[in-house]
Amino acid sequence: MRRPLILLALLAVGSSLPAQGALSVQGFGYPPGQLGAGAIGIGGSNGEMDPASALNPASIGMTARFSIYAHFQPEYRQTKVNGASDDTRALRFPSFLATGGRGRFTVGISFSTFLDRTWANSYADSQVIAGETVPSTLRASSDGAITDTRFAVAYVVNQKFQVGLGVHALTGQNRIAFGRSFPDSMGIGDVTQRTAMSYSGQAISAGVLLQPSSTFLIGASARFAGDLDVEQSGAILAKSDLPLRYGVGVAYLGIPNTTIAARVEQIRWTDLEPLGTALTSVFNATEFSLGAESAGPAFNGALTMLRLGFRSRTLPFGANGDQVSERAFTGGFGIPLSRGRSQVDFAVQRASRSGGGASERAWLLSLGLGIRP
Amino acid sequence: MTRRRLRALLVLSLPVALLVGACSERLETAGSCPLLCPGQELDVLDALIDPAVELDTTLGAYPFIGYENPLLLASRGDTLDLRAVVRFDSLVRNFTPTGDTLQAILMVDSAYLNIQLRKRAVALPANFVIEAYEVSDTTIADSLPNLLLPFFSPAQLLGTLSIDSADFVDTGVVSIPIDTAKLRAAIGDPLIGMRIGLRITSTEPVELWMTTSSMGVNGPFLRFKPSADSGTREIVMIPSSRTPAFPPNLSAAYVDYQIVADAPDIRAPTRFAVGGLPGNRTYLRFNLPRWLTDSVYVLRARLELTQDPVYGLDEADTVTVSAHLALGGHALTDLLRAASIVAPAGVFISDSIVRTPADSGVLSLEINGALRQWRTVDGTKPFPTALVLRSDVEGISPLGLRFFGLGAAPTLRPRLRISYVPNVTFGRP
Repeated sequence: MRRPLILLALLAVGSSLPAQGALSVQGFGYPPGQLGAGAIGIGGSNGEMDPASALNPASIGMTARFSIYAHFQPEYRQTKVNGASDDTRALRFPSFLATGGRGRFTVGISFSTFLDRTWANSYADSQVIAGETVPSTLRASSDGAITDTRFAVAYVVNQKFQVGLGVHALTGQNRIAFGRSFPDSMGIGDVTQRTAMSYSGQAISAGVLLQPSSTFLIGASARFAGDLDVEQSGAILAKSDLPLRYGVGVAYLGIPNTTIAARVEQIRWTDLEPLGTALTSVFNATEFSLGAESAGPAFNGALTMLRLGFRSRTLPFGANGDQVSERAFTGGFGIPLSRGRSQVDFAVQRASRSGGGASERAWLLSLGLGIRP
Repeated sequence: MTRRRLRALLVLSLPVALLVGACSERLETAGSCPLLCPGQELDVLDALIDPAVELDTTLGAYPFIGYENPLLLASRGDTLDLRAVVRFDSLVRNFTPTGDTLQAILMVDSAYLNIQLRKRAVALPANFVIEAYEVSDTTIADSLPNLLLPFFSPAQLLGTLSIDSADFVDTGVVSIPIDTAKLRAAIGDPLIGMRIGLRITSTEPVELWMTTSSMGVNGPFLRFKPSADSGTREIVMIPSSRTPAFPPNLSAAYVDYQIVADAPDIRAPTRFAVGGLPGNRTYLRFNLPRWLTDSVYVLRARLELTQDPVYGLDEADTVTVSAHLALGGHALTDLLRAASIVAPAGVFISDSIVRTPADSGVLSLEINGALRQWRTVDGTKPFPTALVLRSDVEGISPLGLRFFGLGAAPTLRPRLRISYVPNVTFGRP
């Protein structure tokens, strides 16, 4: 039997998919920051001391009782490129924490979004097929995130000093679809490819809370010694170190019922470079935040907390090779309920992002609910 | 409402509004692409598979006997001679005169065969004649209708109808007078029926379509008067067939059918043909590498065929050839049968070939929809990797196309030009 003469070059083809359509979700996605809704209200400036934020494992020692905290965060964003704009709405549950303590020890488990890679885009362009340029509609989407699961232990050394240790498991999946369709009249078959990328990694973290005087509280933490694997179709696709993170925050408590805080954080996102392709631009990110929290009007006999803040940071994944910066003004309030057994935190961020010839403005709303039964 | 409660209500309304307003996601973007959507280019590769076909064969005749619709009556010199047969195997043998009781039919008066005729593209001659013959020999195999041709003789003539084309009404019904004595004889013998062969003749070429009985009200019927009494109502008989007895239900198709007495054969060595009379289909079985059906996404699959011109009847008229996915199971080895178990036109393959018989050169037919159906599922292919080419005027027109086949020179044989997307590993940003 004659064997077909196949005139082709079978290439080992690999394709990237930075995709996205929004500034904030380039690369492996958007880092919400692992902050609680209360901390977001003051710009994240007290993130190192906030037990509802999954940053400093020592901070959970501040809630000796059993407590849980859940955080819901919708984001409304508008991305502008060359005069065109896209309005999108994304929903996140960025964190959930549970803590409980006995004596000087407090243990906690938290689930917080490390990188959210959820986006979709669809637009008309053209495709060259057999030398002929034909109109085409492209559709791509990604759904999923990497979640940081942290088991933490905090120990109260004395009233001025707490230490904490965290063990992290990073897991998650991105479900990605990519396809093109063509006008029926062309007779060209549509194509849709789907895949899933799974992530697994681990790390440890350590932190301290120090109160050198009655008017200052200092928190510092770091996450290190971790790695992250990406798996696809049952095979390891890439490996990298988990980004080293360290941060320090200072709170001034000298004004009654008022906290003024500042924080700085550095994340070495470039550790993730081996996970991406040549199209991926990864940058180390620095975050500065400043904010204040003060007692507001009483609500059901308890003082509410009013919050204001400012947050400036760079995002880990660039657009068109440029680093993307984000600045956000924040505000919010906290309402204690049930004689302090529960707490509702509401925060809003007005974020502006720019980079790579595009700009993005977003409203991020945060609703946090804490229960201390 | 106290001021405190009002304040509380206002405060709590914010989170509630937040929850209500954020109950669904809207992620899709368009305007920010492609600037913010790099890496979405599709890697389209091309391949030429030559030869793509491992078997090509011309099969006929289609449609099967009795399934022609309409029937073609044609007489074009010594080139084309098409006739029809209408069976009346069940005859009415009794009637009830006015004011009387049921009695046997002893006389036949004013007998006619009514048929509906439709014009073809060929111009009608000034005059033409439709002849009716008795072709009632039931000893001849049903599957060999051409054995009835000797019955189209003067001795078997039942009647003729001469038509002036100036008086001819398209889709009108014409009445061909039937020999009353012969019909009376058939009615008088309960063992026989009346099978009528129809032939059209003229001094010039003539072609007309005749509506079949499967079309219902416009199908042929036989009518006569069983009495000279002017008050007696006509008896009308519709076609029926008692043979073949097996397989069951096939006899219903044989109530009327076509006889191809003479037609140009468009088949030729190392070529395959579609259309013509009797109607030809081509069965093409493909030999495709497995990666093509199972491992890639085929965007475009153009089957390139080289047409071999067919000169003669209506060579400048257009004929449409469609490709059908063969649906017969792998166990079906009778290709004549396999070529009749096909997906409907337009399903899986929407493209078609529109050419005249006299055309030549390379043409392409988009069949990517077929390749997607040939993907291996659970270790087997659901359908044979085969296509059936058929004409849209199959069995009712002499038009046909011919293409070079596997045995032709390499530059002429069928080949498949593919544009495909590899099943790539993607998703890394």
